[in-house]
Amino acid sequence: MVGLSFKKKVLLLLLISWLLSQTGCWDHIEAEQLGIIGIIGLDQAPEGKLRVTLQIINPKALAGGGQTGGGGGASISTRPYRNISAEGNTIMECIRLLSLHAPSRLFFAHNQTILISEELARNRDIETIVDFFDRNQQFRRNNYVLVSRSDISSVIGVPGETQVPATQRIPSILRQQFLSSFYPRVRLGDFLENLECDGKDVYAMGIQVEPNEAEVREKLAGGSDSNAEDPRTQTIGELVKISGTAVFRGNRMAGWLNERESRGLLWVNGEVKGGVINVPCSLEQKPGQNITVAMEILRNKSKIEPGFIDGKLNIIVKIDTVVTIQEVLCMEELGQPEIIESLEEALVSAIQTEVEAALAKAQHEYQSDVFGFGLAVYRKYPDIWKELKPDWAEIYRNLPVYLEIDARISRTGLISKPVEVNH
Amino acid sequence: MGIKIFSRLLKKRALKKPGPGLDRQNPLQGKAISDEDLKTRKISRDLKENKEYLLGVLGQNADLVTREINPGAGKRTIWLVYLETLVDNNGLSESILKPLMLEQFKGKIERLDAEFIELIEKSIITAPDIRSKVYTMDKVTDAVLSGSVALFVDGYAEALLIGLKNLPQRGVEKADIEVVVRGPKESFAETIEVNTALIRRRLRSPNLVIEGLRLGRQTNTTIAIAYLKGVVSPELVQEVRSRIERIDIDAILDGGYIEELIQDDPYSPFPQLGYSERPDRVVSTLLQGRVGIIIDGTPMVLYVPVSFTDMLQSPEDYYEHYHYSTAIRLLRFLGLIISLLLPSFYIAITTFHQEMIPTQILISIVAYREGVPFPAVLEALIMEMTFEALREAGIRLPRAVGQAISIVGALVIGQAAVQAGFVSPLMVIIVALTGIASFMIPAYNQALSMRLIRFPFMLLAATLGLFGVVTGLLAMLIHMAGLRSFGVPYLTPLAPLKVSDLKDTLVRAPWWAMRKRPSELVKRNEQRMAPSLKPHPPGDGDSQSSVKPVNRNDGIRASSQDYGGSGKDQGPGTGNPPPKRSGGGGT
Repeated sequence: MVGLSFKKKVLLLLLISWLLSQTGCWDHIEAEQLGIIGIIGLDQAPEGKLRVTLQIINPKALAGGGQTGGGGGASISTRPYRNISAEGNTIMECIRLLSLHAPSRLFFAHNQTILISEELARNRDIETIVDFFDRNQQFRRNNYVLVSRSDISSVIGVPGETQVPATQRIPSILRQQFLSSFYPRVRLGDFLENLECDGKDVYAMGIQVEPNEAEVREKLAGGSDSNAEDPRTQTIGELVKISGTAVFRGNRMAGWLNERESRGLLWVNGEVKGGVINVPCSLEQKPGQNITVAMEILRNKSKIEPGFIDGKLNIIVKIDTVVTIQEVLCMEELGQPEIIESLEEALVSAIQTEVEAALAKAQHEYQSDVFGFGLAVYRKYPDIWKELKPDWAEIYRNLPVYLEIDARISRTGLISKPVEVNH
Repeated sequence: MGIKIFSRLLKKRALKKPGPGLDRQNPLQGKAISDEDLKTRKISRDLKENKEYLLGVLGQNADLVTREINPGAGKRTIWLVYLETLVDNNGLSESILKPLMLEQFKGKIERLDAEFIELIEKSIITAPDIRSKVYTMDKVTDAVLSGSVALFVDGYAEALLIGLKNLPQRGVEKADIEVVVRGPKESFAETIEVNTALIRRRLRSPNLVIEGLRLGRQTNTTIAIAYLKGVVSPELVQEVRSRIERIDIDAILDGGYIEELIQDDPYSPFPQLGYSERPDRVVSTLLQGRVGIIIDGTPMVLYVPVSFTDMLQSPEDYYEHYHYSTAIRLLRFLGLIISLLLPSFYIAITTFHQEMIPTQILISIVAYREGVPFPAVLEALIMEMTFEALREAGIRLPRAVGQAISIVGALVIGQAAVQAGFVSPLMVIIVALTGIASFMIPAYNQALSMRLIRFPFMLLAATLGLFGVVTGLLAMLIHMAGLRSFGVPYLTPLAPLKVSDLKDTLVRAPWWAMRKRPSELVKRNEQRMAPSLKPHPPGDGDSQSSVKPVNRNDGIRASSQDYGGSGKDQGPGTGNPPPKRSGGGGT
C-alpha cells in the first residue's frame, strides 16, 4: 500500500469495493427472516423413526407492546409460539423436512432446551441423538438437556395462563433450581463431556406435566356452588414440573431418581446450592412424628476419595455443608450450643439418608455410575484403573462407599427463642 | 459611503487632466501589474514619476485618495496616497494633516530643508506607527492596501508609510463552537491584531514569540506563527516556518487553505492540525510546546502538532475537577467509538451474527423489523443520511428558520417514518445514539472524520459482517499508526506508548500530578511546576514544604538560552530543578 501512488491506491480501493459488491452477501440474512427456535423436542415415532418437534417463537406476540409495522395485517396470531414437527431417520432430515412448512429460516442459536422423550432415551442410543447437537454449529453448549416423562407435545404445548411459552418457561424454572436442588442442572456441554468420559455415566433432568392442583380444587369448589363465571376455572390447567433425574447406564436410560435421590446425587457431586432439608428435632423421634426443623442449605462441597483397605477398593465421600435454620416446629431454644449440636447430628443423618437412597438406586438398582466413582479412581490410580476398567460394572455394583458428612448450622434466623403461648 | 466615493471620483475626473500614457485613460484596457515590475520598481526622486506609477497601479480604485500639500507654502511638495475605506480619517487629520499644515511648523520646515523627510518623520507626524526609509514601490502599494498612508516628498527617492489602519472588525465575542460551562468565554475574532492581543494577554511572557509573514499573492494575508521560546523545540518551529513559507497561492481566505497545504498526509481523512476559537486553549497548547498559526481573517487559530487523543479533550477538562473530567473523557471515548461503529455493528449483528444477540433483544429486533421494507443496511443508510441532511440543513438555515428543521426532523424521522413502517424504531434509536455520540467529540474536525468514516464501515458491515468491521478497523488503526502530525506520531502517547503522558489522555490526572509537559513535544524544560504541589495538611510532611519552589519564569528563561543561541544576554541557566551546588564551599 505504502509504495503505491495515489491513483493506484484509489484504483485498488475501487477494485476492492467492486469485489465486495460482486460476492453478494452470501450468508447475509435479515433478522426478521429468522424463525427463532426455542425448544427442540425429540420423540419416538413409529417404524423406529424420530419425531422432531420445534417451537418457533412468534416475536410479535412476545416482544411485549410490539407495535405492528405497516406490512402486518390484523390477523397475526397473538399466540407467542408455534410448534411444528416432522418425522424422519435423522434429526437433520427432520429439520430440513420442516423447511417445507416454515416460512422463515429455522435458527437454532437461541435454542435453550433439548427435550428427549423417556421412550426415546430408553430405546435409542444416546450418542446417536446427541451427535447432531455436538456437530451443529448453531447449538450452544449451554442448552439444557431434559428427559420428559410426559409426551413432548404436552410439555411444550402447555399454554400457561401467563402467556409465557415453554421456550421461556423451562429455562426460567431451571434458573430456580438452587431453591430446591431436587434435580441436577444439566447443560449440553457437560452432558457431552460426561458421555465421552470413562468412569462416569450421564444423567439428565426430568420434566413432566401435572394437573394444576389449585385449579383442580377450584373446579371442585366451583362445582359445588355452581357460581363459576370465569371460564378458566372450568378447565383444569396443567403445569410443567421439572424434578428428578433420568439416569443412563452406558448409552441407554436406565431409570429415574426421585427428588430426594436426586439431591443425594447432588450431595455426592457437591452441587447442592440450596433447598430445604427437614431434620427431626431429636434423633429419638418415633416414625410418624413430624416435629422437625426446616433448614435451608447454603452451600455444599464434596470430595470423592478412592482408597484401598486390605487390597480392596473402596470410596470415601466427604460432604461438607453449611445450613441456616428457617423454621422450627419444636419449641427449643436454639441459643443453646447443645441443641445446635444435636440438630447438626440429626442433619448429618438426614443427609446420609438422602445419599444412601441415591446410592441404593443408582449403584445397586440401575448400576449406573452417575457419581463418577470410576473417574475418581482413574484420576487417583490411573494404572489400576486400566486393570479395573473391563470389569468396572461388576466392581461398581459391589463397591463399598463410606460417607463422611460434616454439617454446620451457621445461623438461626432473627430469633433464638420461639414464641411461647401461655395457655 | 458608496455615494460619497462615487461623487469624489466624478470630481476627480472632472478636475484632473489625465496624465500622458497612463492606463487611467482607458481603465478597461488596464493590465494587471506584473509581479516582476511591482517588486523591482524603485521610488523615484521625481514626484511626478511616482505619481504616475502609483496612479497606474491603484488609480482605478474609487476609494483611492491622493492629496498634495505644501507645508508652510514652501517649495517642497508632499504627496499623500491612501485608501479612504481603510484609513482612520480622524487620525489622518490629527496626526498628519494638522501637524504638517498648521502654522507653528512653518519656520521649522523652512529651516531644515536639507533633511526634510527625516524632519517630517521625527518631529512633525504624531502617528505612532511610522515606517521610514522605504525605497521600493512594492512596499508602498502593500502598505497602502493594508491601510497605511504613503507619504512622498518631492525630491526624495523614499517614502514614509504611516499606519492609520481602521478596518471593519468584529468584536471579541463569546465562544460558540467550543462552549464551556466553567472557564473563559472569549473567542477569537477575524482580526489578527485582536487575536494576537488575546493570546498575549494570557501569556505575558517575554518568551512568547509571534513571528509574522505575508501569504497569498492577491490577498496578502498576514500570518503569524506563535510559540513559546524555551519550551518549543526549535526544529518544530523551523518545520512549521518552512512549510508555511513554501506556500505560494493567490488567496488565503481561511486557515483551512493553510491546513491542507501543510499537513503531513494530504490524503488522510484525519485532521492533522488542530484549531480552536478559544484563546485559553491556544495558550495551553503553546505551553505544551506546540506552535500556533494565527491567520488574519480566520476566527480560529491553528496549532500543530496534534495527536488523536487531543481531539477528545475539551479545555474545560482542565478547569473542572479531575474526577469529573476523567469520567467525561472516558465517556467521550465511548462516544467516539459509538459514533464510528454503532450503525455498522448493528447492521453486522442483525444480518450476520444473530446468535450474538441476547435472545430477548433478538426477539424485539425481529418484532420491530417485521414489515420494514428495507434490509438493515439500506435502512441504516437512509436514516443516517437523513440525519446528516438534517444536521447540514440545521447549520445552513438562517437562525430564524432553524427551529423548523428540528421539528420537521423529529416528526419525520422520529414518528412518521416509524409509524408508516418505513424504518424500525430500533434504527431510530441507533441513529439518535450515533448522532448524540458524535456531538460529544469536542473537536469538530475529528467528529467530521468520524461521521464520514462511519459510512464505509456500514458498507463493510453489510458485505462482510463483523469480519468486515474488524478489517476496516484494523486498516484504520494501521493508517493512524503511520500518520504523523509535524513529525509527531498521531497515536501518541498510546502508540508509541508513553506511560508518563497517559496521565493526560483518556484520563485527566490532578494538576499536582502532571508536573511534566508532554514528552513527545518537549525535550527540555519539561517541568511545568514546582515539585510537591499536592496539597497536604499543615505540619504534615515538613520536609516537602522546605523545598524551595522554583520560579517558573526562571525555568523558562534558563532554557531559552539554548534556543537558537538567542539567550546570550541572559544570565547563566539555572535549570529546573536547579542544579545541586557542589560541596566545595561547604567547609
